Amino acid sequence: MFSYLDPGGTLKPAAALAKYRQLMHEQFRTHAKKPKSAFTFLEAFLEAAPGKTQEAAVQWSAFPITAQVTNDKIDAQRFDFQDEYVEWRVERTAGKVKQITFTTDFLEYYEALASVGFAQLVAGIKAVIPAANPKAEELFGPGFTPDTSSAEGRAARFRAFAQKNPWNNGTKGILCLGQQFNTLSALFNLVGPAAIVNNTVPAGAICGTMGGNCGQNRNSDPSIATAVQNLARANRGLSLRDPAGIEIVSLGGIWKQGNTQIDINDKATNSGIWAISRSGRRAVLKPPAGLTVDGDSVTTGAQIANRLRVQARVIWAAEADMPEWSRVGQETSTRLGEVAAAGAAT
Amino acid sequence: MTRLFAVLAAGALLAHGQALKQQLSETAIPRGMTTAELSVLNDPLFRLVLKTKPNEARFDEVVRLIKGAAGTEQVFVVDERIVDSARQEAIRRVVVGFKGNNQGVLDTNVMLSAALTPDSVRPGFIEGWGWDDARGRYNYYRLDKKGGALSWKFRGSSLDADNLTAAQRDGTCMACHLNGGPVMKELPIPWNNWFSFRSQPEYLTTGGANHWPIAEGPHLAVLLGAEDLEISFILPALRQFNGRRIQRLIKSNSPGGAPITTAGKQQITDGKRALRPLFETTEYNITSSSNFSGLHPLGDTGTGPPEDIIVPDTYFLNANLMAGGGVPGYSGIDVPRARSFGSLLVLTPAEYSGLIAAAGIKLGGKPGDNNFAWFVPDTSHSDNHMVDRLIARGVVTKQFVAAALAVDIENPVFSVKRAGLLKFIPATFRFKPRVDESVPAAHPDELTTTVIAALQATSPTAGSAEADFLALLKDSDPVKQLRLRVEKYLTREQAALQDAATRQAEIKRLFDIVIVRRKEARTNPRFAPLNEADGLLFAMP
Repeated sequence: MFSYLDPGGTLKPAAALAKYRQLMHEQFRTHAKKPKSAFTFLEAFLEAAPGKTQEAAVQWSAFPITAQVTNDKIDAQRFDFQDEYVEWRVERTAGKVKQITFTTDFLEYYEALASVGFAQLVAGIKAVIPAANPKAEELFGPGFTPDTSSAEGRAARFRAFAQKNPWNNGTKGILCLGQQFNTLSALFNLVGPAAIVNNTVPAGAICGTMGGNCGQNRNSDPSIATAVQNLARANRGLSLRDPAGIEIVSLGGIWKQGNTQIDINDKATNSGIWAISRSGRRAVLKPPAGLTVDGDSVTTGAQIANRLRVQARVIWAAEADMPEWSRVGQETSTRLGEVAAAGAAT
Repeated sequence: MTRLFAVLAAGALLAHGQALKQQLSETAIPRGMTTAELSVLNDPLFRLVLKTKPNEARFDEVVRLIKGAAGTEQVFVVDERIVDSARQEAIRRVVVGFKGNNQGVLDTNVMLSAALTPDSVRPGFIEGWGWDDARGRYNYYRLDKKGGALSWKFRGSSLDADNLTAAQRDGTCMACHLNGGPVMKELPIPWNNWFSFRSQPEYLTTGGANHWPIAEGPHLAVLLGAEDLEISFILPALRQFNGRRIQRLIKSNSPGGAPITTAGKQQITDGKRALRPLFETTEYNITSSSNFSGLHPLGDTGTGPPEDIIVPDTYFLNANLMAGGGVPGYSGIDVPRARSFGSLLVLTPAEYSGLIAAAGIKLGGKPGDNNFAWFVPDTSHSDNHMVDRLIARGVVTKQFVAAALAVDIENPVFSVKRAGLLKFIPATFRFKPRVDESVPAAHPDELTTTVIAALQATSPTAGSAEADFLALLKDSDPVKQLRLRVEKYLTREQAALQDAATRQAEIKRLFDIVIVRRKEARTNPRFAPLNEADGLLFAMP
């Protein structure tokens, strides 16, 4: 199986990383085997013609464009509105915003830790929320004893309780994506189907042909689907670059501390106001007094999400430069079957 | 084409060619700028390039000088022919923004525009603007051959641009930059004539089939969608610019200085100028359905809509300002029901194709429609944001704004009735500044009572816009009155569109309004200069 990277660097012990890789490989396997799909396994790019592999960064705005409500409501009703593969938590002191934490980590990341054990999960949580002291019932719900449960049981309970988990739902902290559409499988369900050429509509309208896999009115889904469809139409083999996921890229807007404009994205000069970590899966804004964006003080997380760019990276190469087993039409090839089975056997 | 830069020029040669030239209008003779004139230019384009190299004509070099070692450029492409991949004599407009730092933060403070061919950036023409934060103004520049050899000219600043007459604008950059700020006509999704995530012409992308040679080179290596231009450049730039415009309109001891507060109140020094964006359409943006028409006559765009056509809420009423939120991020005036218009009218592909055919709509002289369906002038972010900020500062109350929007509610843009009410705004007025945006300003405030008195003094005719406005202002809760009108309007439209007997006639009536608005944008002298590629911007009968 491909040695999928740990984006957060906290999948410990090795069993957690192994579980994460298994979850990831299931997604690749599902879509690489779909007929006529330009989407393929990452292993294929290891065998591609030297120097012929390229990357495309598909970017979009983190602001949930479908939420036709005020910024306060978007903040308050995270699981209703924050659906662009980015979610956030706002912390206030005396009504003033003190910290906004954004995450793009998928639930599967912590699910992998949960499958290994309660202590390992707690260690993973403390890696991103150092002061955290989560209790088992906070992470898994009442009446559950993680130490006597199976790995699958812990993973399933952690997943099912994610929106009530106070260390994730904003009450005490935020760990990972929890909104119903912000899932790892949703990301793959965009890239996989969009990699099947459909010339009956413009590439920009491909999202509308993908049914429930693609939310037409979002920023993220059509951006990803259109970019992938364009690559497929140009006879490119493609996949999600490892580590597959969503990266926080940068903040837009005019940021001023007092009357002085600052480069909010320059960590060397931004005085720690904005910091991105975990390979782009987490970012924190700590607005000091006097900080403004576009002339306004920071009042909501949605206001900042409106200026936040995120991306998914797609790796691609011309079909002719890809190994034959991975090309469009070879989804039932022996070699592809072997690659797929490698994950299943792990 | 969405226009970020006004296009103008004329010529003459500067002595020694060492200093920047000035040419404020099309008919003016370019001349060297004086030391005093140059001393008030302090934007990044001037500081990093034009101050020392006013004849630098190489596009790549200008970009390099601006971004320096630590900056980066971001590239956007726009054109009314964006869907057409044909290479012969093809020209696209390339717009370049910058991020990072080069002797100061570059983000949103400088932008260039040039002409793109399938192979290269066409030499000999660059437009640009730079933001001078100290003076709170945009400076506009152009490189061309007017006056002899290629040279840059200072083309004017945004200062007081909103107050210019049509005659004063003629032949200047402000003919298009109507309030002085950057202009991106197709500002909201789906950015009809721009390269965006909704429409990615393959000829412009490296991985795309049959792509142009330039797609392989460095110029489009950082090509981004218009969604990024909207969110990362234009919206922030206009927010900052409007903030400074309002600041200048509040009485202070120095232009743009700290407001003078007397007995807890501040004073607007030019009432009509401050409130013009509420009553008049000072600029427009263009909205549309996010669904393709499939009827664009250029390129291979299809033979009809590939999906149902959803008409945007802002076509029906000023939903952005009424409801607040969304990408513009307005605080709004607490009328969320306005968003319900976003699901009111959904046309089948057959209905839309039939509508276009029956109306004899053409684009570029050929039967067809814009790339995205229901392409229609809309209220501008510039105007709406001004109003939202005026509310935030306490200059006007939500109730006052609600009363104004309720008048002629079905014409959010180009409303003659609402424009006619501006004359009742006093020359100056006082207001209580809001120190906490969570605490609303009280209704009626001094402005409201003054306007009520002015309206009453004219004894307005029953049924007139003046009488309507008067009654709304005198109401204890104009926001509630607006909500009632929104509900009534919505109910009426739902009934007309859901009844098979009336649906087609109502759709035709609504589309006729689209045509009226397009015509106004094309022919109104104030807006006509923005219609740069006549025949290709708005599809017309």
